Amino acid sequence: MSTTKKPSEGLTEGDAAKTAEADAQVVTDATAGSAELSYQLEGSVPFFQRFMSRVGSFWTLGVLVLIVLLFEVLTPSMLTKAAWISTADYGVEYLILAVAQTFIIITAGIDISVGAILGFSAMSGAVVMQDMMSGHNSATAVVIVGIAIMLVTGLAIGLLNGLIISRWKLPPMIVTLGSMTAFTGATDVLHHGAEIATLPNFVSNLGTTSLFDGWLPLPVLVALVLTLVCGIILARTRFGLHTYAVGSNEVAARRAGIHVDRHLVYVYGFAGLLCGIAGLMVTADFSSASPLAGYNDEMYAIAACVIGGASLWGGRGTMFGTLVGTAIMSVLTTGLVLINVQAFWQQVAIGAIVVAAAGFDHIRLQSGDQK
Amino acid sequence: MLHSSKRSRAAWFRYTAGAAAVAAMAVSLAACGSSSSSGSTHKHYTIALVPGLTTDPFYITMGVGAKAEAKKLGVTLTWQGGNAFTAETQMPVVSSLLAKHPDALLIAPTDVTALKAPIQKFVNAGIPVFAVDTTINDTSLLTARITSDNVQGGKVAADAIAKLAHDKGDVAVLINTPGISTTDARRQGFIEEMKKYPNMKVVATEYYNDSASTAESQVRDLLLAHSNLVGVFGSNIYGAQGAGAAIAAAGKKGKVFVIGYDAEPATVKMLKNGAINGLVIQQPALEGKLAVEYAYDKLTGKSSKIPKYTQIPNVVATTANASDPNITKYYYMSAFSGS
Repeated sequence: MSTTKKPSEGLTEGDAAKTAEADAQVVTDATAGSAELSYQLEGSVPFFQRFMSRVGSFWTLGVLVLIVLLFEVLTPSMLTKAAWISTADYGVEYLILAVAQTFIIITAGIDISVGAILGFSAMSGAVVMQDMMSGHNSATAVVIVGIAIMLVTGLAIGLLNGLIISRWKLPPMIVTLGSMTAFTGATDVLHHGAEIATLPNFVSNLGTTSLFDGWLPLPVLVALVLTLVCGIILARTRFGLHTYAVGSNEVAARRAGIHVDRHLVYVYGFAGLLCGIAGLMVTADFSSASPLAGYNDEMYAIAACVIGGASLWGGRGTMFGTLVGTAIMSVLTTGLVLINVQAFWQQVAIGAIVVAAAGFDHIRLQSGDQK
Repeated sequence: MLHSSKRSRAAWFRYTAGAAAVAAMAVSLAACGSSSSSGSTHKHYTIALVPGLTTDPFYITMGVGAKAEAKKLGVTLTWQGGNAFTAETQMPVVSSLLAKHPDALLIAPTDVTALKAPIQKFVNAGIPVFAVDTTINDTSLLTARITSDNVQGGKVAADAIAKLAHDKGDVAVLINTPGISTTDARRQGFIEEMKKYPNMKVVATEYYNDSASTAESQVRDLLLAHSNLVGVFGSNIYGAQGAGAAIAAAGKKGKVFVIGYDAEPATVKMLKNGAINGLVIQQPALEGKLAVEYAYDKLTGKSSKIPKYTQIPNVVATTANASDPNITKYYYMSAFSGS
């Protein structure tokens, strides 16, 4: 339930700021408190709908647990260290991209260039690192410069997306479609479509080092920490509040004093930075930068967000939901290999789950008097 | 407004449901333990074969040969792979397979660098790894390698083109993607052998990214740019198909010759009707058979019998002998038939 407060005449700046806070607070309450609102239901609402609204956004976690247990029943190798590592490693790339995508989707936007940004920033860093390695440069310098290039490139492309979307008022889908196409090609230009395997040891070690006797690979740790940090940003900071507000009702947010254009630039820029980090993780995982890196990843990132409860109309979604959505996709991949089913079915399954998840969320929130 | 009691009731329910789900997961994990040890006794072995991709007739033929040998030896062969020849699709399969702890891993690595880490994990877990077709940079991790003699393949392709073109003219090489050990070796062999023909020159190397349509447009451009082009060497099926199609479309069939690699059904058809003039055919079924045989030898303690590196010669087919039963038995299959 989002309230749109029309600012009346004679509102001062202070009032506008307070209204903005209040608007954003209502939006946050709405997203977090959908379960509470369900208690206003009368008995005439079907049991299923009431049950769904009570369960709240934890139902996707339940689905994840069910899937894991189902695979464990079908093959005894699911709850093993190796299966966990395989699942977690596979999910690193998609989780970071999905975290980036969550911010964007909550602003009622979409970014289908996340995969291309990942690939391009990874290849940029790798090209520079390979160049520097053939000269007289210390290993530390190569690594620092290389990683910096990856992050800055991602950030720059993200900012570019955000600027075009907010200044020229073009639909995010179109703008990011353009940058996806352009930067997919640009990645090939960077190194003639070939991959780069001469990289500093630090990068490949990043992919193979793990803590706790192998239970926690470094890239997985990085991805989880990023998710946690971004989750806190989303739920507990002004930046997060403004993100929800902009997605919930951009006009109201603007009138209430939020610098929507600037905020969008920050959001897309931040997402681009995260894609750069994902590019580093992928390069570390494969010990090489490939022009195919990130290809088609944007679809899985969006799927993870939707499964996790984010609404493509904006204003709704949580980082925890995105984490569960990514986990569901990764578990499916590992599980299907373990029960010897071909890889194609993974995509079929994910597609079905995306639609089901969106459908359930729709029912659940309808019964809670949501839009 | 919401009553605080209702809000706390809802919150309580939510947190309990969440906690219960997490607890259930934790209990299951604890109960089943984190053991990834082998469940198989040493009477019945399970060998995992991971092809470059599961839909390519070359690898399917390898699978057929492997399965036949497995059946003969009484071992179980599992067949699992990605649906594209990329490290991105193959890595998750290999990593997940580790959880099933097969007794041996036969793999056609899709990347010389990226697959090293997962293969290392198998070796660390005591599972011997055999590379078929392609390989990785660090061959010390492998118990044995089996591949076709790709350098010889490039050489016989060069000789075949030279013969068809009467030792005169320009030729071009079409390569899938750089960085794959097999196709790099074919190119190397081709270019080396071409040096023996003073009136022939390699004028271009194109990379077609495993796409026949890209190969087709590249050859179309080559035909326009080099009027003296007499031959194209397509280093795998898609290159040959694309080249053959472009040459036929330009009306140069019979004037520009295509030597391809691999005998998939579609390529064989093109060979028989002359769109492709020659094929270098590998023996994937034999590779698969040997891989299973060596793995079994390793598992039954006969490792001294295993050659570290086996190179299998190629067979050359031309439009002339395309229907000879001695040649057709090498053609690849596009599906597993029966068991």
